[in-house]
Amino acid sequence: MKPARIVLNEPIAEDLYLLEIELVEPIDKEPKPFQFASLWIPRVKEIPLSISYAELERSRFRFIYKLRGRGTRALSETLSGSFLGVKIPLGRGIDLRELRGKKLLVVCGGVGIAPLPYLVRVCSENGYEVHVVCGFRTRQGVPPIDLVFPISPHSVHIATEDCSVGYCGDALTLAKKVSKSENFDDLIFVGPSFMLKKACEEFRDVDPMISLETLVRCGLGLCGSCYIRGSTKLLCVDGPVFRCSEVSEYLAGLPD
Amino acid sequence: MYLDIDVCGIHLRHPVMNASGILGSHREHIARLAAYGVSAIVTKTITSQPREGYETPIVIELPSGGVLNAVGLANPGKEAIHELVAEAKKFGLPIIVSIGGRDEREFVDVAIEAEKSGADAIELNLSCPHAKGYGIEIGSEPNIVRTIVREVSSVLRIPVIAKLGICDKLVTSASRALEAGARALTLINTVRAMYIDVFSAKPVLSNVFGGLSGPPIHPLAVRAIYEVYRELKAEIIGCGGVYDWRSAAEMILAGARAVQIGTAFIHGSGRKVVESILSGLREWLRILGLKSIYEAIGLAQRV
Repeated sequence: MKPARIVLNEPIAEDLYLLEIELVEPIDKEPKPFQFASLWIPRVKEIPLSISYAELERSRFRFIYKLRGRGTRALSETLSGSFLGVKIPLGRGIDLRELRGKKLLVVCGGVGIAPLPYLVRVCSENGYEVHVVCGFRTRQGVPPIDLVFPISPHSVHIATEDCSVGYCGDALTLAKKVSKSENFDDLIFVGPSFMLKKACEEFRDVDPMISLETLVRCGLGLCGSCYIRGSTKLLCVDGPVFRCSEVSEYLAGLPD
Repeated sequence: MYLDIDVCGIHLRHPVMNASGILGSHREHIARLAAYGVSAIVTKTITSQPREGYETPIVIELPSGGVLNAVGLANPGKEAIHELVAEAKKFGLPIIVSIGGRDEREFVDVAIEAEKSGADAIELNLSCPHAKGYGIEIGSEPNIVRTIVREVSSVLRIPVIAKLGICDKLVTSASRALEAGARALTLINTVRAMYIDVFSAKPVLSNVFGGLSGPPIHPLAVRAIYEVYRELKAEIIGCGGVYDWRSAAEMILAGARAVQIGTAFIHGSGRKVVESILSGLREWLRILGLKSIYEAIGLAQRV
């Protein structure tokens, strides 16, 4: 658990916050895209959050989180300047070399946007092209894209289910449309579990990657709370990103 | 070089098993531990009823090395034992069911379920340092240890192992456990400890107190094994801070015939750790000119 100080903690859309922290002592290992952190709000609880952006030289890390329960609410009420504890980086994340090519379509629903800014940065530094499809329920849920992405993706397509911004519909439907009009080497989906399950069914022929969420407790591979049903994998050491085919039994057990 | 060894009549193909509390509470965990290459599976401590455990943080890595945990005996309850045992059998591995309880009645209740499910042995958790009413609170009192071990042993056919922790009367407790029917001892559990974050000025574990594990407790474990083996010549499974072949070899020289690994399996590193301990132990036995683990057990007692 590393001590860190909150630099910024403000709402950027309905129930969506942008948090920036600075570690008290630097770490020297560059995180990989989709690695995550577990933030300890003193005497409240720990909450696992995707790394949204990392600037190692300044020991700064960004997170985007949605108000969900006691932990995120307490975090949203924690002022700049306050100290937190952080376990970082957790998970395996993804190695760009395991992708099937350099042109990616990344599809997110809601707060699933969180890990994308850092993915885009690492991809752009390595000559990968990231095209983003983001779905939200309403206009109020859409965060300012320029603020979320310090490095711009190759393209950003927004969908809202209430048809107030961008494409009228959900992220998956828009993703199907985008992927028909253009070829991509690989697809990654980030969002609520019903969306991931549907994505694995609808894009079965390409076996896309999905970023899962399970209950993470210790984050260190010891307690086993985050085991992926029907596999020997633990989300906190092997995840959170898997190919659909690696976690089929888990997906089958999810509600539609 | 042969690494196989018998522990309370159970044949193990090598002396490295996992410590209780590391995975071991779901079917999937058993498969993962099997993939780590352990010679026997030890389950998470199971109580009669399911327990949620504590709020996070439940486990933290310490800056000084080692790990502090207070998971709160989270477990799926005795109904899950059957599935855990069946899964271990699929991999051809012996399974030791760790059992927790507030009193002898609860221990007996879970132990009977373990035997019915086909477990190879049970390990009585008489030493968890952070769950109120469980563990060390009862395990540091030799007469209570005797009562629990006796009640459980008298109704089981499978071997009973008593897991004891660091306390003033460890040798006495160990002796009572053996008199009461324990076939082996696991020494030691984590050691009650705490960690304070100096910036928020607050204890980090939600439970405030937890159990310290990892290399910092290894010398305590070696000492405990040495003392108990010297007095009682018992079958001992060493546990506490083993992370490489040397720390395992030290325990064997003190008197252990097998070791359990917990903290060193952090970040999913189990397979690598087990493999390197086994190859290191083989080489070590060769250097010492010993034919098997048996010849090394308690060798350091000859001083």
